[in-house]
Amino acid sequence: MFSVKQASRTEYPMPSISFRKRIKKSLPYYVLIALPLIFLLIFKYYPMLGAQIAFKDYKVRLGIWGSPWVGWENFATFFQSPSSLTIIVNTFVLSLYYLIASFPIPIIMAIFLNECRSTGFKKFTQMVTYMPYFISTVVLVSMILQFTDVSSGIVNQLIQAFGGNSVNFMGKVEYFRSIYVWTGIWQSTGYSSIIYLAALTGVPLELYEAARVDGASKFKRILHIDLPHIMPTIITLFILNTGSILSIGFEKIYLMQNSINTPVSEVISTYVYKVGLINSNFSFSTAVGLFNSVVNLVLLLLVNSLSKKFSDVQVI
Amino acid sequence: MILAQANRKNQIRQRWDDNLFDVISTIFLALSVLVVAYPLLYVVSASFSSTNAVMAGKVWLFPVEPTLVAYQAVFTYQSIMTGYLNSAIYTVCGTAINLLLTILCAFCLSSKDFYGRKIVSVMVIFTMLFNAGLIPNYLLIKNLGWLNTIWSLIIPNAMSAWYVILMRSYFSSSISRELFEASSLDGCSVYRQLWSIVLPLSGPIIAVISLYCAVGIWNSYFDAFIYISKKELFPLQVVLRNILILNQVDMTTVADLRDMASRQGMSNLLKYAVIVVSSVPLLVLYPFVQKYFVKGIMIGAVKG
Amino acid sequence: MGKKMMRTLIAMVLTIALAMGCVSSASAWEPQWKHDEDLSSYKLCDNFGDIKLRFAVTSVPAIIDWETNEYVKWIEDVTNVDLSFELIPYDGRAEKLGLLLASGDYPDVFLSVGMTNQMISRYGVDEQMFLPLNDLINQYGTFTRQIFEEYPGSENAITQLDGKIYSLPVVNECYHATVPTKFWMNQTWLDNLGLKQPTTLDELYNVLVAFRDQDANGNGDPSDEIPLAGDYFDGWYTNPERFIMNAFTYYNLDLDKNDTSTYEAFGLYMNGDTVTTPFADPEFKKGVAYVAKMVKEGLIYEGSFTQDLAGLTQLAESGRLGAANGGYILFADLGGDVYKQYRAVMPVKGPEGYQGIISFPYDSVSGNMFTISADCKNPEAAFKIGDMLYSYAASMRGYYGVYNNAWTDADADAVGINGEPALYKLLKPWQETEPQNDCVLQMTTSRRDSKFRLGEPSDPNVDLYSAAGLETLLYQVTKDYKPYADDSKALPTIKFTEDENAELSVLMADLSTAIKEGMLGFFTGSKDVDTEFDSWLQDLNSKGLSRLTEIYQNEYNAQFK
Repeated sequence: MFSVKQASRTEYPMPSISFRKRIKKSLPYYVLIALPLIFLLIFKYYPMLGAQIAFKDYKVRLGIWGSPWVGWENFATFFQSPSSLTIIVNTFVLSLYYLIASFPIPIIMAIFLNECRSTGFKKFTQMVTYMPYFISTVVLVSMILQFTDVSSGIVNQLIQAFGGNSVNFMGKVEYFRSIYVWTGIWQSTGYSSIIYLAALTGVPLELYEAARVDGASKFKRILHIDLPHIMPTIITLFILNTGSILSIGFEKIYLMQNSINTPVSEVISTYVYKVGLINSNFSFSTAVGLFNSVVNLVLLLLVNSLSKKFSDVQVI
Repeated sequence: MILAQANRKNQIRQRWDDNLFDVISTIFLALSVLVVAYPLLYVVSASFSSTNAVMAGKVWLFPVEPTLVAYQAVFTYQSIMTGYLNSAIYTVCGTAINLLLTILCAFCLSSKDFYGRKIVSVMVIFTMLFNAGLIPNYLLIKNLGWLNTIWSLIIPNAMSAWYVILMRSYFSSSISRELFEASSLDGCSVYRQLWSIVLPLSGPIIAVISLYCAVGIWNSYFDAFIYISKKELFPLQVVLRNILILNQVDMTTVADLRDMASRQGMSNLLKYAVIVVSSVPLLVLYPFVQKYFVKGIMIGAVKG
Repeated sequence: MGKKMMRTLIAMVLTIALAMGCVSSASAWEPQWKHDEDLSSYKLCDNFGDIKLRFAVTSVPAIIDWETNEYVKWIEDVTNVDLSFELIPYDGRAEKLGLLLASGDYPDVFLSVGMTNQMISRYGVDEQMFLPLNDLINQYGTFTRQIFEEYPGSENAITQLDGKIYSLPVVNECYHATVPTKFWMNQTWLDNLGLKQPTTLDELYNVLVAFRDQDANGNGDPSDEIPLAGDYFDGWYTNPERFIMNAFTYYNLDLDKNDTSTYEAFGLYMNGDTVTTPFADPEFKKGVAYVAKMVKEGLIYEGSFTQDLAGLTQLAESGRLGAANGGYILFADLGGDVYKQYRAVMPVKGPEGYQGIISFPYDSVSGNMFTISADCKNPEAAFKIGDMLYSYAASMRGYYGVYNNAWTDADADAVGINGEPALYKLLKPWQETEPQNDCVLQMTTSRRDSKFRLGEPSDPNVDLYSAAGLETLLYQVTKDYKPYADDSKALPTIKFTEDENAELSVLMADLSTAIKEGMLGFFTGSKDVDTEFDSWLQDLNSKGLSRLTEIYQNEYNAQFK
C-alpha cells in the first residue's frame, strides 16, 4: 500500500492549549477566510435554500417560499417510471467505466513527459495533447459519426485495408460505452495531465540524486519517489471525481444517442431533459438533481473514508 | 578489481534499463501525438475547405478546394471583436478573483492552527455536491441587480471547491512544515507566511489553477446565456454559437427554403472554423504556463 | 298593375338589392395589398413616447439591432409608441424563456420568442401571468377577426381550455409544408438503366435491386451504389421507411431520435372520430417486416439508422445515393449537379392496393407569437400593435424590409408562383444570413397566407431544379401529391390541462424511447418481427400507450365533438 510518509505529515502530540489561546492563534486565519466564507454563504448556501422547490409544486406567482408543499411527489414521479432503474444503472456504469479507464492515463503521460530528455519534444507533445480539449462536443460527435461510418468512415476503411469487415459501430449497442469513454479520454488526457505535471515538479531534486547514487533505475525511481510524491494529488482527484459520478455530462451523450443505443445511453440527464421538453417542470428537475447530489455525497464519503484508512489522504 | 567490475556491470545494466524505459516512453508519447494529431488536422483542414468538399466528405487530411469562406463568414459579424474583447476581460478578471479566493481558502484549510478548519472544509465540499438549481441562482443575481453586468459572470463561480481542495493538497504536501515553524519562531506573522513563503513556492499550482480557470471561463457559454441579454456584453462563445445556429437549417421554421438550402453547407463548415477561432488564444497562452512546470522548484527551500 | 302594387314591387326589389349589397360586402373581404394601407386608427397616442412598451424578442445575428431597426421605426412612426427590447438569444431560447417566466422576470409583450403551448397552458391558464385577449379582440382586433373569418376553426384552435385566448398566432401558410414527406429518386440512374419510375411496391423493389446490383451511376463500379437511405437525426422527414410503410397503411410515425413529444412520435391519427395508433394493425406489422427485409438485403442503407443529415448528404454528394425521403432535395447541394438528378415519385401501391401520403393541413394559423403580460400597464396599446402586425404593410416590412428598397408594387403583368397575378415584386432576394437592419425576418408575427407567399412573382421559364426555382418546384410537386393525401386523418391541435401535461411528460419520455427502440430493432434485424412483435406491443401498452390514446381521445371529444 502506498503510505505517504513526509515530514509535513508527522503527527506531533498536540500540547493542550486552552480554548482561548487557540482562537487567538487562529485570528489571522479568520481574517483571511472571511472573504471566501462570505462568498460561500451568499452565492452557494443562500441559493441552496431554493432547492426546496424539489419538495414543492413551484408556482411563479407564489414564489419559492409560497409554493405549495407536495413532499416526495416529484421524487415519486421519477422513481415510478418503469425505466428509472435502467436509467440510474446506465448513468452509474458509464460514469464508473469512464472514471476507471481515464484515471491512470494522464498520470502515465505526466510521468513520461516528466522524464523526457528532449525539452523540445516534451513541449511539443504537451502542446499537441492539450489541444483536443478545445474541440466542442458538437464537432467531436460529428467527427465520431463520420469516422465510424459503416461505408465511408476512416476507421472502417482501415479495418478493410487489413482484411476485415466493416463494422457499424454506432449501430451496435455494445460499442456505445466504449466509444463514449475512449473518445472522452482522447479529448481530456493531455489537459488532465497538467495537474500531475505540476505536482511532479515539487519533487526535491536531492532525492533523485540520492537515488542515482544508490544505483536505482529510472523505473525504480519513479516507483519510489515520483509516485509517492504525487499520490496525495492522485487520491484527492480520485475522490473528487467519485463525488461527481452521477453528474455525468449531458451534451455528448445526447448527441451520441440514437434509437439503437438508448438501452445503454439513456442516462438521468437525458431523461430529465426529455421530460422537460414536454412540460418544463423545475420542481421535477430540482428533485432529480437533489437525488444525484445525495448519491454523489454518499459515494464521496465512502471513498474518502476508505482512503483515510489506507493512505492518510482525505478530502473531508 | 572484481568489485569495480561488478559496479561497472551494475551501471551498464542500469543504463540498459533506462534506455528501455526511454524507448517505451517515447513510443507512448509519439503514439499519443499521432492519435491526437490526426483529428486535429482534420478540423483545421476542414475549416479551410470549401462547403462542397465538406458536404461530400472529401476532406481527409488536407484542405480540399481551399477557401477562406468560413473564416470570412465568422469575421464579418461585427460582434466577433467585441466577443473576443469581452471574453478576454471576463477571463482575466474571473481568473484573478478565483485565484484570490482559492489561495486564501486553501491556505487556511491547509494549516493546522486554524481552529474550525474541519467545519469550513466540509462546507466547501458540500457546495461541490449540492447545487441550488437554475431558478434560485437566477433570482439571486436578479435581486442583486447584476443581470447584464460583468459581475454575474465572474462572481457566482468565483471559487470552486475542486481547485480549493487541489491547492490545499499541494500546500500540504509540497511545502514543508519546517518552513512554517522556522519562520514563526522568527516572529513571522501568518500573513507574512502566506505572502513570503507559500506564494513564491506555489508557482506550479498557481499556474495550473490559473490555466484551468482561464480555460473554463473562456469556454463557458451557459452563464452568459442565462444572465446576459445585451449584445455588447456577449462573450465569444455566445457570439460563435449564434453564428453557428443561424446557419443551421431549422426545418421547423420553414420560411424561405432557398436561403435555408444555400446555408446548409456553410453550417458544417463553420463548425470547424469556429473551433479554430475560439481556441487559438488559449493555445497561445499555454506556453507561458509551461514555463512553471520545471523541476526543482524546491531546491534550497529547506535550509538547515 | 296598380300604382300601389308597382311601388310595393319597386320597394321590394330595392330592399332586396340593398340587402344583397350589404351581405356581399360583409362576407367578401379582400385584403388590401397596399404598402400604404390606412393604419391611422393605430396611432395610439398624441406624442411620441407617451406610451412606452417593452418587448421580449429573439436575438439573431442577422438582425443587427432591434432598437434601430427600420421595421421597428416604422411601427413607432405609425403608433407613436416608444418601444424598447429585451433580447433572448435564438439558441436555447426555450430554456431562456422558461427561465424568465419561471423567475417572474419579464416585460410587457412577448413577440415571437418560441412560446410553446405548454408554456401558455402553465403560465397563462394556470398561473394567469398572461392577459386574456378575448375582449380586446372583440373591441379592437380588426385584422385578427378577419383572420378568424378566413380560417374557420382558427379561433377555436387558439382558445385555451378555460375559454380564453392568451396569445396571437402567426399566419404562415406554407403550401408545400402541408405535404412534407416527399420521396425523391435519382432520375439519371433510372435513365442509365432504362427503368421507369415505380408505381407499385414490387416495382419499387425491383428498381432498388437494380440500383444495388448494377452500375447505376455510370462510374464503372457496380457495387458502390446505395439504393435508399435516410437519417434519423436532423433531417426534415428523411426517415427512409416512410414511403414504403405508406404503401401498407397510414404511417405518420416520426422516429427521429429528438422527437419525443409530438403526436407524430406516437403515430397518432384520426380514424373518423377516434384517436388511433397504427401498431396493432396487421398491415403495419407486414410493412415493418417488409422494411426489415429490405434492410437485410442492402436495399436500405444500414447506416441510415445512426447517421445525421450531414452523413446522408455525403452519400448523395459523392454520387452514391439512389433515393431518399425529404421535404425537398435537402440531401444535396441546392442547385448543384447532384441535386438536379432527383425527381419526385408519387406514392406506390402496396400489396393490398393501399396508397397514400401523409399531409398536415392544420398548421397555417398557429404558434404563440404575441403574448401580453397580465401586469402590462397599457394592454390596449399593446394589443393594437399586435393586431396591426397582421396588416399587409406590416407583414411586408417585417419580413422583407423597406418599401422601394427590398420590395415594391408588382409589375402589371407579373405572374405569381400560383399562376395568378403577382402581388408584389422583390427588389433583392430574401436571406437570413447577412446581418441587416431593415427588417426582422421571421422574428415577428405577420400574415403570410398562401396568396401572399404564392403571390411572389415567378418566372414561368425558371429552371425548376435551380436554386431560384425551389419554391415553384415544391409548389408543383405538392400539387401532384395532394390527390393521394387524406386530410381527414390528420390530428387537429388538441390542448391539455396542466395535470394532463404533467402526466404526459413522463409518459411520453418513456413511451417514445420504447417505440423507437422497437421499430429500429425490427428494421435492423436485431429484433425478429415474427416472434417479438406481439410482445413489443404488449410492452408498449404497459408503458402507457393506451393511456396516451385515452388522454388524447378525451380531450378530442371535449374540444371537437
